[in-house]
Amino acid sequence: MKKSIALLLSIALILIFSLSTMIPAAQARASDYYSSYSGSISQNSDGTITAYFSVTAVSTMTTLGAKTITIEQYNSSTKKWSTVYTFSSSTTTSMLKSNTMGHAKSVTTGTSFSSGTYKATITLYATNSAGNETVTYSVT
Amino acid sequence: MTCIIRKEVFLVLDGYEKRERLKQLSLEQLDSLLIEYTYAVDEIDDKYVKLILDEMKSREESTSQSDAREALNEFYANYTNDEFLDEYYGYLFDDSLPDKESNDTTKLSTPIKKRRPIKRIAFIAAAIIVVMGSLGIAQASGFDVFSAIARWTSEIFTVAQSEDKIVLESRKTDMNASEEEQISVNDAFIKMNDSLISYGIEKQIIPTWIPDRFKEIEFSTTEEAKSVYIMSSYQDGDSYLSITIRIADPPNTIFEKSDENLEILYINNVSYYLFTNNDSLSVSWYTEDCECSISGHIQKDELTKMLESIK
Repeated sequence: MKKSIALLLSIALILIFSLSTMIPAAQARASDYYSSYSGSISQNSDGTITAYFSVTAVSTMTTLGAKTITIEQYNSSTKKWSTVYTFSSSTTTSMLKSNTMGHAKSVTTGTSFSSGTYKATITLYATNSAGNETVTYSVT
Repeated sequence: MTCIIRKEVFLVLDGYEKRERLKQLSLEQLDSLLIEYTYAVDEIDDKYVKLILDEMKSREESTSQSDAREALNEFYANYTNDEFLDEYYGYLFDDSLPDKESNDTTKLSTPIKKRRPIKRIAFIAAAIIVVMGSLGIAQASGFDVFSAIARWTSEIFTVAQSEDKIVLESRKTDMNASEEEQISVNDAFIKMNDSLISYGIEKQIIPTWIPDRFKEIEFSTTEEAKSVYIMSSYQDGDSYLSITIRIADPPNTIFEKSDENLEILYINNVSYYLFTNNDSLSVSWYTEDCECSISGHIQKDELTKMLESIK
C-alpha cells in the first residue's frame, strides 16, 4: 500500500514538472508584418527554371516582396543541395513593391539547366515605419 | 507421563522384539520412554536408547510424508485467507496455488505468487485519476495542455491541397486607388468577383459584406507561373483588412498565427479556419480550387458576418 501511494505521488510529480516545462516552450510564432505567403518552382520546356512567390502583409508596408530567391539543385550522389542561380531584388526588377499590402511575382533563370530536382529558397522582406522583418521559406 | 512399556520387560526382549515393540508405540510414547531411560538411576544400555531414537527418527520421516496433506490444509486455513494475505503478502501470491485435494506437494517448495486483480485495477484507476486531476489543475490555472500540444505542431497553418491542374496565361494587372478615388465596397466585390469569373470561378466565394468603416485602398490581380493572386485591401485609420484569393497547383500558402487555439466555423457547408496573428484576426478556407483568406484588425462577429454573406 505504501509503495502504491509513493508510486502515484511520483507519477503526479513527474506530470506536474513536465507540464511546467512545456509552458515557456509554447511561444507564439506570429508576425507583425506578414499575414500569409506562398511559392512555387517549375522547370520549363526550354530548361529554364521559374520561381514564384506571393505575399500578403498585415498592413500597408513601405516595401514588400522578395529580397532574394535562390535556386538549388539536388545531387542524388552526394545527397546535398547546391546553389545554381540567385535572384536579388537589387538586380531583378519588381521583386519588391512599394506602399502595398500584397505582392506576387515570378522570376525565370536566364540559363537552362538539366532535368532534375530543384528547390527555391525565398527570402521575403517587409518594412514599415516601425521596422522590418524577413522570413525565409523553401518550395520544391 | 505413564510409560507404556516397563523398562524391565523391555530389557529382556531381544533386539528384533525390541524394535517390533517400539513400532507399536506412538511418537509421544517413544518420547516418554526415552525420557525415562535417559533419567533412569540404573545404568542404561546405549543400544536401547539408540533403538528408541532410530524408531523416533523413522517415524518423523514417514510422518512428514503422510501428514503433508494435513499440513497443507492447515496452511490454507490459517495462512491463505484474504485477511492474512492482504496484510502481509498481497503482492507475492498468484492464483496458481495447488488445489487442496491435490497430491502434488512439489509446488510448496517454490515461491508462490498470487496476483491481486482488484488491487491492480484500483491502482490503475487511481493513476488515471491523478493524471486527469493534474491536467485539470493545469487547465484551471490557465494553461491549456492540449492546445500546447497543438501549438507545437501548428505554429503556422496551411490549407488542404488539391491535385487539380490549372493552366493560365501570363498577364499582370495592377490598379491602386488614390484617396480621391476610393471605391465603394460593392464595387470592390464586383471587381474581385469579375476576376474570379474570368478564371472560371463562377461560384461566389468572397464576402458581399464588409464593415462600413473600411474603405478599399488597393486591388491587385497577378497571374504568373501558372498561379493567380488576387488581393483587395481596406483601411480604417490604423486598422487594415485584406481579402486574398490564391489559385495555384498545388495550394501551399503558409499563414502566420499566434499560439491561441485554431477555431473551425462551419457556415453554408464550408469549413472556415479561424485563428489570430498577434492583434489581427484571420480566417482561411479552401473552395473551388481556391485558397481564400481574410485577415485584419476586425472583431470576430464582424468576420463571422462577412463569412455568412458568402452564399
